[in-house]
Amino acid sequence: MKWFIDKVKATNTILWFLLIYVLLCLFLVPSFATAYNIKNILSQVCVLLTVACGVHFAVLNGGTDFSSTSVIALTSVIGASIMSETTGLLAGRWYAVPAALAAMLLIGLLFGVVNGLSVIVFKMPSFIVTMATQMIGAGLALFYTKGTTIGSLPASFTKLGTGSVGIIPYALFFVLAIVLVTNWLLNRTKTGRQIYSVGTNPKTSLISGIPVKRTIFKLFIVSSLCASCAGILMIAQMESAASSFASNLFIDIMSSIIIGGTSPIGGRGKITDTVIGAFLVILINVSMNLLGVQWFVISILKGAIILVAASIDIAKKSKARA
Amino acid sequence: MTHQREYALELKNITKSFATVRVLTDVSLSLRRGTILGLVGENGAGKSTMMNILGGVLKRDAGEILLDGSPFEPKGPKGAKAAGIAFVHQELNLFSNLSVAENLYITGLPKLGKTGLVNLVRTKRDAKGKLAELGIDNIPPDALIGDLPMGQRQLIEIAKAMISDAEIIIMDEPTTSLSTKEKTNLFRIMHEQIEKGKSIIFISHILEDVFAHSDEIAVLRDGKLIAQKPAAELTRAEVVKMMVGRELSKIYPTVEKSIGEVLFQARDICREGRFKNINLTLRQGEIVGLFGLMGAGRTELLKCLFGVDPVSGGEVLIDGKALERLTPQGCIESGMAFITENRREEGLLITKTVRENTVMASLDELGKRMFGVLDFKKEQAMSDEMVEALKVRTYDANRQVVVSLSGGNQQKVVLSKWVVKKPRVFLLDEPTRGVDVGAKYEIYSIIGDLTRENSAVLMVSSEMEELMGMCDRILVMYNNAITAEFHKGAFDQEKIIVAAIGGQNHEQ
Repeated sequence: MKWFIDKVKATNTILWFLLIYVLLCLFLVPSFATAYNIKNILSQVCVLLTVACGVHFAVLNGGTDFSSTSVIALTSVIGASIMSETTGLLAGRWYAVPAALAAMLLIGLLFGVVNGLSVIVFKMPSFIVTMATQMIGAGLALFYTKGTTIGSLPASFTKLGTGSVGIIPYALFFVLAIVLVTNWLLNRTKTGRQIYSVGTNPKTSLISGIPVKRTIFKLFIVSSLCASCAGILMIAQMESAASSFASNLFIDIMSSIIIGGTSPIGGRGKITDTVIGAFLVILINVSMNLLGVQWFVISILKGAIILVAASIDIAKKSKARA
Repeated sequence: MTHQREYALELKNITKSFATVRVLTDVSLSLRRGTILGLVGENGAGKSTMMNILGGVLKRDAGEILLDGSPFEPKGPKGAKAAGIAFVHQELNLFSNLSVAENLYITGLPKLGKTGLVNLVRTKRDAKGKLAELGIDNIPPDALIGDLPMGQRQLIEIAKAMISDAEIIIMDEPTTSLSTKEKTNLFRIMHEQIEKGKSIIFISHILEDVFAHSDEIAVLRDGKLIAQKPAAELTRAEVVKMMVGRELSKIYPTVEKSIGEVLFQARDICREGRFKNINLTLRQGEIVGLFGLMGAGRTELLKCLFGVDPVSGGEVLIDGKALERLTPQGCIESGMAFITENRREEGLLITKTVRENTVMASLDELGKRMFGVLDFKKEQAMSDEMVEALKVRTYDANRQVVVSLSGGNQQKVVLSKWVVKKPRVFLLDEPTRGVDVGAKYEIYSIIGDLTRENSAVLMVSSEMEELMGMCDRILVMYNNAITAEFHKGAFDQEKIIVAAIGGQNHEQ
């Protein structure tokens, strides 16, 4: 019994919150526990969780990465424009899909390099740098498409987004891989430990011989690469691309990370926390939709839930520290 | 409130545990009205916990607090203030982006009528008056705290406590960053307050000060009260014995060692607007002290030698070979280590565990495998070894975060971070600041052991006695230059001081 209580106390508060929310949904939300709906939830989590795993790294450094949504937008329209079977640059060629994916990852990498260098060379706060690159990326994506939607993506590619094993979408396996890799990187490797150190105290880290600048550079690369992967998943799921698809995603990304319990001042927070956070955010979206609640009410409720959830966790942590 | 009671404050049978560790057992203290009670004890003896309970920051498990004879239930900093208790904390609690005046009145800034706007003119005028009253009117009330040297900030912190007109003032290590003159000033202020009928609890590691200024002395050890007696009935040796629970025959360990070849050289170190052509040499097994007054450039020199601050010229050589990159990383790879004077901000990851802190400078060694996968077994072994070797008092090195350790134990964690790497050249900046007698001896022994294995140590300290006891050679800095050198056997306190204040005639 004591073991059980200890276990309960040690578990992330947000996980309990998530479980209670699921229970409530089971009773109160019509057609919540249907296979169709569960599959829907799992699909919706994919893009959000992929990009959130990346932004998580930027938050661990006490900053954020606003540019993630426009990396998704830019990579997805460029990728689609290469592989599209009707209008694509490489339409019909056998290497159209791999070339498109490579281009998408490359663009992500480019954003990561620009963000990282700006932060470490000019010592600008990541808020400012990534806000600027966000605007640049969003503008470029709109300029590139002129506001149109690019469709007719190869079926062999969109299968990644639309196919499933039973109720489990293929995309979820892809996301699982990203979660495992980022989690491993943070928990098991030198780089991960350096990221936590620098996020906690860059001065101490520098004097202890940790390459502070290289570490900060790395985390922006991870963030942008994750955003590129999210772009890949997004066009596979939507079977098309437009510059506006990800434009409202940023609030959900930060919500997932902060609800999960990652400290906004840096240095603390696990990828698994962000996984829980992302599921909670999607659950709220889906359940409210099913209940036919209007969007402005959803917005208010989500805000309130974030406030409550985050404050419970912070209260618990400050108590543990005293 | 009547002022007839003999005791301003009584603590009775206070008990407190953190998790499974008992930090206070049945402690009873009494503060007589109009007197100074000196409270001494090793780091981790429970002094700060005691004061945090009184301030309402922590809840006691058992016991009673009597304020002027009636029961008192502390309810946070505001409650303590309302009850007439003021705290001067060990760690400064000032806003460095605000002015002196604003800091002084931060808890109750005067308002402009009912508008809710701050009356800055009055704030400044009141502050000026108060500073003059306390005899520290050399500090302008509109100076930004961030621009003031540490010693003056400490005086402002003390002035802040005086402003609330508290009956009881609790001072936790108020003198750590004060110069001799500022200290004299502080003690004058303390005695003035006593004459006004106020009562003071004075917590300090510096026994001379405690003996010189306390009416009574209370000694805590391992969370228990060992004695509370009038100062006149105690001797320093007795108090030290009570604090550590054993006789401290020596304050400085004797180490069998020999001084060998030149190990470390700094050649013509320059820094724009700071240093010009500084040269110094350390030999194997040698401990060299660096003495100087605050602002003489000691800390800044160490930071340059370790590559924390950029140099504009000069080089650092180890074994006669110049370092290619004068960065912390390059220095560490060449076997150097550096303990800064500010352990909370530059030495520790304060919210991380003892284990994580212990290995943080050894990540390259732990992450040698493919992809830099960490060797957790080795990490655990390193951490266990250091906790054991340096006697770090922690209930669980894997779980306890260093912020909850006492000052001395925090410093041992900083030391273990470097000792685990067996550094060949060790730069130390005030390694025993805020550390009690027992832990000091342990730290000296650790430094001694390193030199026995042919490492060289460069040690900055403001405590002359410590340098004279530990060092083979003492260098004196004055105005950003090394102006004098003294060898063991020819140490002369007076000459060293003269050199430190810019006297010319004592160079050897």
